[in-house]
Amino acid sequence: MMNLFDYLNKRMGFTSRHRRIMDKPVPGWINYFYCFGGIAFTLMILQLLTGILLSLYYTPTEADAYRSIQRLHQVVPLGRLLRATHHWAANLLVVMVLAHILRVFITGAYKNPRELNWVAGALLFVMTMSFGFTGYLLPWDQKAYWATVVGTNMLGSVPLIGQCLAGFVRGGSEVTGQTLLRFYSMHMLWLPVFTGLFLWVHFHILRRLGISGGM
Amino acid sequence: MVTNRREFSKKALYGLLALLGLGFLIPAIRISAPLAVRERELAFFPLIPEDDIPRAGVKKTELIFSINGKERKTRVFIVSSAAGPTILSAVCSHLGCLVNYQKDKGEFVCPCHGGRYDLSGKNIAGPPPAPLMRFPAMTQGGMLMVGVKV
Repeated sequence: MMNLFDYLNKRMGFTSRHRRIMDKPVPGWINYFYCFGGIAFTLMILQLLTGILLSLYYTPTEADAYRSIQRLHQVVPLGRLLRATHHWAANLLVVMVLAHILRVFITGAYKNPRELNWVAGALLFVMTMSFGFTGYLLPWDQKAYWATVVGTNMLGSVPLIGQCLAGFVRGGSEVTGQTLLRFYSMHMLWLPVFTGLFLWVHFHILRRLGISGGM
Repeated sequence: MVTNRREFSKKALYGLLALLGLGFLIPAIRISAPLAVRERELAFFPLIPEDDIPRAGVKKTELIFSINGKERKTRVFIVSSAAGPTILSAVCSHLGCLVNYQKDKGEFVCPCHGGRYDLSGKNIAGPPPAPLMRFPAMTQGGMLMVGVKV
């Protein structure tokens, strides 16, 4: 085991890199309120892992989306647990992100020179909410359908460009199988890519500037 | 072996991480393992006594059967003709509502979207895309037995 590790390390040199990322001393005055961001990130990892597993069984089509979830519940071992984990981690993620925003706001951690990290964080917040909005449609039941009808109608009420925007999101003038496919695509591909990108920015700035000194 | 506190914490941390990884990996393997497809077999369940089969016309009744020891119920129609009884499921092939028999017209009518079927179960009007399901049937031991794939 150690030999294989040494072999790879000699050729890829990842310990030096990891040292720099992992061996960062944390200031002594820190408290548990500084954990929310890390918890949110951990939940995102959990969402990624459970989401990948869910994708083995989910079919994003008008006819089969609901049935595929019923199948997941009835036929797949631990299928219920898998979906419940994804569902509750998603809920908790929103809570943790909000708690993290509150902590940053209250301790004034967004101030100079960390304004850009606040911007990246705000974008991540939008990503999280978009994940929630798109993921909510995927079960394709009555609640999901009508929630999306209401949600996209709200988007349609934006002055001037609203109808155009709503059309883009729905892929038509109404919520149909096309909308389901779009939300699936956003939930599975677009949002993860951009979230990863903004997370990298978020952590990069954090590492460069360090944890803010508190109030 | 363990020389100091730092070494111990390090090992404890790695152990904990390994446990966490296993805790995810084992369910993940279980979830992604290929599904064992169970062959469904035809089993016969008693519907009504042979003597209660109507000579002609339509009789509505409930078929009680069991899948994996769980009792299930479904509504069926016994349609009698010279050729013998046919057992039709009352579940509409459109969206699964229960159809009713209209005696004056001799048709089955779905109350949800007005789908119509004739006495042989063939869809003749409205949205239903397929005929009513027909159950295999036979008489055995004085009972009319109906076959269900379980």
